[in-house]
Amino acid sequence: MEILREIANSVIAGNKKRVQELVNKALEENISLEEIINDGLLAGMGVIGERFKRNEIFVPEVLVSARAMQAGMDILRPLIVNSKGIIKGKIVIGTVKGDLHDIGKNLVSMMLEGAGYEIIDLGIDVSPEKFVEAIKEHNPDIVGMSALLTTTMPQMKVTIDTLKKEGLRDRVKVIVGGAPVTPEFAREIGADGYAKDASEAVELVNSIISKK
Amino acid sequence: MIKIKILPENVLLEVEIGSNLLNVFREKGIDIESDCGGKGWCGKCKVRLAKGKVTELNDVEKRMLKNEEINRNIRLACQLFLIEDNIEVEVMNKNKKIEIVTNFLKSREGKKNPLVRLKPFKLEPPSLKDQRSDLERLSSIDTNLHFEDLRLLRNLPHLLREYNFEGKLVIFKDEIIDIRDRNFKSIYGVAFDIGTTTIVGYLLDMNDLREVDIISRVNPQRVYGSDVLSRISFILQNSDGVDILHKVLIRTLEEIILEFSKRNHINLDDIYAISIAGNSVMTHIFLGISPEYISYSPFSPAFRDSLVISSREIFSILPKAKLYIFPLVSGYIGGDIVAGIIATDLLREKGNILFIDIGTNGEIVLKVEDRLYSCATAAGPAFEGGNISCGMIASQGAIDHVWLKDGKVFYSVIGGGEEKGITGSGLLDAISVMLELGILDSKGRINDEEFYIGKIKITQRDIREFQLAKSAIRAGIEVLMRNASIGYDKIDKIYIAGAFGNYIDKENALKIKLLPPISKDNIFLVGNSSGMGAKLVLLDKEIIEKAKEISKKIEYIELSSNSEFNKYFVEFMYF
Ligand code: B12
Ligand code: FES
Repeated sequence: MEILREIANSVIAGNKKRVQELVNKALEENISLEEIINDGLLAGMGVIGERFKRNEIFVPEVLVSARAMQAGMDILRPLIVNSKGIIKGKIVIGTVKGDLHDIGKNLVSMMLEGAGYEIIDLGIDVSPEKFVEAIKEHNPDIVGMSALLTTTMPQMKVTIDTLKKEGLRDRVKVIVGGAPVTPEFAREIGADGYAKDASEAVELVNSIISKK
Repeated sequence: MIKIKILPENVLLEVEIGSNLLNVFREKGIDIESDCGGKGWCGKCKVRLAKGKVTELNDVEKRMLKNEEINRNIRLACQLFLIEDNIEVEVMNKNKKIEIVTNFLKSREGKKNPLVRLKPFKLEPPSLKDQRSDLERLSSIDTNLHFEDLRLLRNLPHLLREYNFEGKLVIFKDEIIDIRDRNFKSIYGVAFDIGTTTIVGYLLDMNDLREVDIISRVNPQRVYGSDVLSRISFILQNSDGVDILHKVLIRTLEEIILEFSKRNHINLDDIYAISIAGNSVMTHIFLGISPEYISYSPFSPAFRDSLVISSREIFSILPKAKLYIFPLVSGYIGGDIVAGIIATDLLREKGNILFIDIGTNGEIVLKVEDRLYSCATAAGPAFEGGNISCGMIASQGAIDHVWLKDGKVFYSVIGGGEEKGITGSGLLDAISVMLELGILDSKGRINDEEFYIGKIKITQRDIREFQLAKSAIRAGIEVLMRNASIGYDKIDKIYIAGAFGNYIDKENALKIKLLPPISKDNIFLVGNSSGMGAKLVLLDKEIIEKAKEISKKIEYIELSSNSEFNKYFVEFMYF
């Protein structure tokens, strides 16, 4: 549908206002929520993810597009009655204890949101106890941890060990990332997955959810 | 003999006909930048020929100078020879780095106040009528002096009698730290700048107050990681980690001291003062204190105040000297920055000044009126060539400059010869050239995937890494300016410190928006200001008080919890 393609293009261009206009127009035209989201907003973010992965665009462009996408989502969210087919899964994410870097984590959150996931962002300096609490409260499919400092990476293992102790480890999949984190480290600490950037994070989460 | 006038100071010189201009400058002590030492690849020794005739433009000059410069009669001092009378030249780039220390010394002339000095004494020997103790006798020379060293007290009775109660006191600040015979003359001090990457030692003659020698070494801790956090990780993973890093550092510092002693034929025993300027992590490790708690939130250091300690606590080869350690401001603003503020005399300078140490930690200080604001931007190692596919530090074989001439790309390599990689200043220039050629857009995208400088390829990932580093610094600058409530037009000067700072092309730094828009004439490269501060404290003990004042006065702005920072960080990723 032409209007959905236009929504996607406006997300790609990062034109927040245009996205809002088009989403409202699509609603007037009685296009389904599912279609507006999947074939409009998320399709746009999909292209952004691809381009980011190929290094054609960088952090600012992704953020601008993500904001445009979110503006559209804000209009649609109150209208969602049945989230099936729209929300693909729930993810709790945070930067580990002692670490206050959040730009990368925010980018990952937005891309995941742009891929149809519900995100519960715990912010920065998140202790293992806070992760535990959030899992109990929100019952997510996946927990994501971010660390940008070599000295806070060990907190990822501490958190995983705490989840084990609390008997929560089998209820969630754990994924990790951040510039100093490697796939080997992720394996070593017993995480279920690692992604080197935000669009790989989407692929990773998609593959984990589809196996569920 | 012919006459030559140096502008704008109007210095008139008489020189041999046929002299090389750079040599004239050297012989007559006229200051000019000449990074390559006259080999013709740095292009720093620019002069403007205001009057008269010299040898024709040669090939080196044609290659190094832009057309616009040639039109303005700009020449390279190292390439031209004086063949006619009545010449006038203007020096374009002066060695800002050296000026600072010499200016400082000039301003201090007459009030010599070194940290360590000799004071002759002649005492009445004890008699039955005067049974005062040896120490009382000594203390009566000057009641402002005090005495703390048990080791010296153990020797004092013998020494006084051996010297017939006449000799020289060695005084560190106000403490008597040794006594020597009356003919003893030369005492020395060593200033250390302990950088994460490089260590520089300076040997100072404390009698004549002059620099005698300088040695620089790679920080041996580098094998444990290139940035401070990797070193701390090593400490966290090894129970004796602090000890290991402390020992390799001290060994290298001792090697430098021994080399000074050998090269300059001086006695280790005659070195009485050592000053240490380093970032907070290096200073902790130097003292053998674990920097662990600096490495994660809330980043608290073990101490902040300056310290004076006995050198034997650290150096086995120097039992009698004293160490002065610069105070720290926070976990990420260290003694090196305090020393840099001292060296550039930031507090006394008029106007609003931005002081930037462009390196992995990216410390920034903004002086507005009499307030000092600071932050650490964690730019990462891109400026030093780290995380760049063909990146390397500024050493032999590194491309350090890239420029366009008639639409063609030219570049220079440190040490001449073939290019082995590119360093931060080269990458900065390359980006500016790529923007100019339209190969790179302002968002940082390379349209033509293949861009080579000589054999060195600049990749899209390199540009992205550079964008992060550049933007972190710029965002830090913006946050400080907001905190001080000033706009671009209120910045009078920018001082750029650090190794990278020596090579940076100011115009390109402005063009890619690393620096805020101010006239390039108000940007000064101040070289190793940390090392200079370390030297200055040896030359003037009052600096101890000044450093204390600065470390108390500086306001540290934590960027981690600063939402403005994130906004600017994203904004200034673009060129
Ligand atoms: C911006 C920045 C800051 C900002 C942070 C602002 C913020 N709110 O985040 C400020 C200035 C506050 C800061 C502070 C510090 N920083 Co800092 N910082 C950086 C910098 C320049 C960029 C990081 C960044 O945002 N990258 C861009 C994002 C998009 O990339 P990313 O984070 O890697 O995320 C991507 C992937 O890793 C992945 N990913 C990330 N998280 C996750 C999570 C999951 C689950 C998955 C799947 C994927 C994933 O996807 C993301 C998107 O593609 C880097 C250096 C550099 N050039 O990289 C240093 C750097 C990370 N910082 C460093 C340091 C040391 C610090 C400080 C400790 C000290 C200091 N001031 O110098 C402080 C303390 C703060 C703290 N403890 O958190 C060091 C770490 C060194 C090391 N060996 O660990 C670095 C590498 C710089 C350096 N070499 O010195 N920093
Ligand atoms: S000194 Fe003349 S080019 Fe370097």
